[in-house]
Amino acid sequence: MKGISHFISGVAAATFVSKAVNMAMYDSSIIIALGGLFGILPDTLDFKFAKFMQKFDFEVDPHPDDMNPQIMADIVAQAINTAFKEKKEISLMLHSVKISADLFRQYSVYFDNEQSQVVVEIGPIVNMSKIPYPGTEYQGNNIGKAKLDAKVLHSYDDKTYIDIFSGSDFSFRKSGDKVEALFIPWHRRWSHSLTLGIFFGIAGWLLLKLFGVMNAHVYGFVFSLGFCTHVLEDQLGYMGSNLFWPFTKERMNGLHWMRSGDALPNFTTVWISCLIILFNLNRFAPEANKAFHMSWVEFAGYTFFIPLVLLLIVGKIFDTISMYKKMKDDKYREMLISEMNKESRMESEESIS
Amino acid sequence: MGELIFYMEPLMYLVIGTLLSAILGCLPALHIYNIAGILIILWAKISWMGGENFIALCAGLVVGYSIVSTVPAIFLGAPDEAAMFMVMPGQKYLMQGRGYEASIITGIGGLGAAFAMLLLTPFLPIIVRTVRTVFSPHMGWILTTILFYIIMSEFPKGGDRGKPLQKFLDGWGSIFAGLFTLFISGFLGMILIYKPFVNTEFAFQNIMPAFVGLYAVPWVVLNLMSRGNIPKQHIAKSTNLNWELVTRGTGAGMLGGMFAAIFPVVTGGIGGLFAGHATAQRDERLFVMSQGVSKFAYYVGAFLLFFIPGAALTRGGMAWMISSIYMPYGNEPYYRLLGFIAISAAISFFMLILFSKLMIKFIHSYNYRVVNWITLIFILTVVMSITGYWGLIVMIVCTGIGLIPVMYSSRRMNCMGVLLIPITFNMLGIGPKIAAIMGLV
Repeated sequence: MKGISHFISGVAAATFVSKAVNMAMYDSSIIIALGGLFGILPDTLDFKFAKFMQKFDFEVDPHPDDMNPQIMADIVAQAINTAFKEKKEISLMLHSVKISADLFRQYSVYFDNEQSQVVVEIGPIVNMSKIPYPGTEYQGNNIGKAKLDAKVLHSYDDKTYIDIFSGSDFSFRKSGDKVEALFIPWHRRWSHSLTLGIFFGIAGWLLLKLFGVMNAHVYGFVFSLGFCTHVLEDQLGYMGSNLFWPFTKERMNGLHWMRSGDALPNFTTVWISCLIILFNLNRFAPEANKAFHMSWVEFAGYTFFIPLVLLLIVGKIFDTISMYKKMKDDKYREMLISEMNKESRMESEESIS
Repeated sequence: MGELIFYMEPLMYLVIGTLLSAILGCLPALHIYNIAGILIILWAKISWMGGENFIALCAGLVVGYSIVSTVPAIFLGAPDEAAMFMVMPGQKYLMQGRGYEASIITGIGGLGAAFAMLLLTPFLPIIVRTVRTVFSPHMGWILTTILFYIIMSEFPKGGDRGKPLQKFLDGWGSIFAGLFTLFISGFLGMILIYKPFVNTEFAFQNIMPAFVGLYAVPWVVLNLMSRGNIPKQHIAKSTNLNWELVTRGTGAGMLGGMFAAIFPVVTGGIGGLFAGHATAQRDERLFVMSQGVSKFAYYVGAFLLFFIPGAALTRGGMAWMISSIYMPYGNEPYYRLLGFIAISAAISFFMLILFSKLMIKFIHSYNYRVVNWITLIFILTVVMSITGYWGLIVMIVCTGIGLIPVMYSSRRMNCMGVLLIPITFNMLGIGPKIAAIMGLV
């Protein structure tokens, strides 16, 4: 999930602790803000520290003016084959190809298990929004293929696009008669662990107690809560996390409910978190200062479900508008007629029966 | 006839305000709050027009500025604090010869925000009253949360090649620069707030030279230093926006803008950053548009909050200035202001089209470097004439700070430390103590 989703979730989680809300209200404590800080901490540990400690056995680092897809595919295949033959973990870095301050040449890597090969394809120039510029397709041979000695197991995307920022990296290791590919292997390992979250809570409590801070245990609890909320949220995606490091070594597969960069789950998380914050702050406020008196079901109905239904209706209206625009397209009309026929047949069958 | 004049007079002032701000909004670094401040002092001294007419004039000024000030932000690269996040994609459009398109997309954002405000009319009083009651006792930690997010959400750039330490230092270069900018701005903000250097009459102008130095001057300096000239600008017939993009952009921008309008110290830029992250925006058109929405919602929304029946929240420079001489009562001023906003937004959009075309002619007729020199001289003159030599010194110091993010590719938003840090300290009740440690009180 995006940083802001984790951050605001950490804040929202902290507001469930009535003592923390009271400390924030009466003692000018920043305890709830610290919930947010610990909410974003796992990614901070990875992207600001662990990332730089990674060493690579192989690197694909093409020059923007002279990109050879065959050489690139060969390097990727070599990394996979070495991992298979030597039975050890091999890391590979796929560097991005920077054209200017905000333009990058995109390329993709695809593990084609049917043909036992890796395919590298050089794509167009894209901006920071990953949107390609028309007419910037790569001139000359843009596809490279190299044979693999084993099939590749991967839990993430079939095709990996390397475009903006720093690129992507993998580690490969033998798993039975196949090679397992781990996408950004340094991410969500030790840093995304519930055990570490509990450790931070205990360490924070002891440290603050040592400095004579009042209610140190509440701080410790909020630290753990923020941190663990992040770990559990990430578990909803594809990649998963190493939930009980150092007792477990591997990332557990995620629930595959969403992708971390998708707009809808991120926005929904932020929205729900904001509502939770509002509800909890009101719930724990003195009776005279309460802005509303509602059960959580009522509150969720007014602030989440009604707007959701309205948004769905607006979305459907847009679908209808775009449908009328597409009516000029023959293929679309063909599909529409077939759907209409299916619907009328179903209806007539139901009537007869 | 008398009745007609009664209704027409405020409209006339609204149009005057809109046209005036449209012209002034095209001048870089001249914030409409500076002009409004002078007008308010004049009004308070000689009462040269009725209160309702004066509100209409101010509404025209705010609405016109929030839409038309996009023109210098895109074509001259001199942003104000609300436009600082919009500038980068806006500049990209400019360098692709699509400055006009960026300008119009931002203007559509402004119209979208005006429409959304009208739609929210019945709900705004309830929302604002609830939010104010619940969050008022919590402002200290809420501002701390914003500060933490600005610090924690800046991730390393680069650091891909070499040994681990080399990669770490390379990647952390921009983060260190960002943190340094944030804290040095905050340090300066403490000085400006506890040791104001302008006369009490112009107290609201205290922070102006700092903002000009932090945001506007570094960009002009950068333009002067760069070798390239801007390419020929194309006047596009379409912006390629569809209804879905307009709705999404409006939704995201309204979230950010209203967040900025409701919470103190949070500017349109910070609100835009939050909204952009929350809605995981990738499309540049969406980004540019939502920044236009956010800017409108921030300036106009903050002004509107002052008129909300039963809430009367004083947010934003214009509301602060007006609150000393005017207090709205009942529903009528609220609904009248919404009408003013709708009319003024429509006029401003046409002014935006006109001024964007004129600006393209201007920058094509003159060398871009000459244009930037003129901009710089104009900025210096404005700062000097309003705040004197002290203001000029503050502006120069702030320019040094404002250049750090430009040179180290860190976020320019870190410069917001100038307001965010001292106000957060004050809200947490530790501001005076820190000021005493610094020897300011």
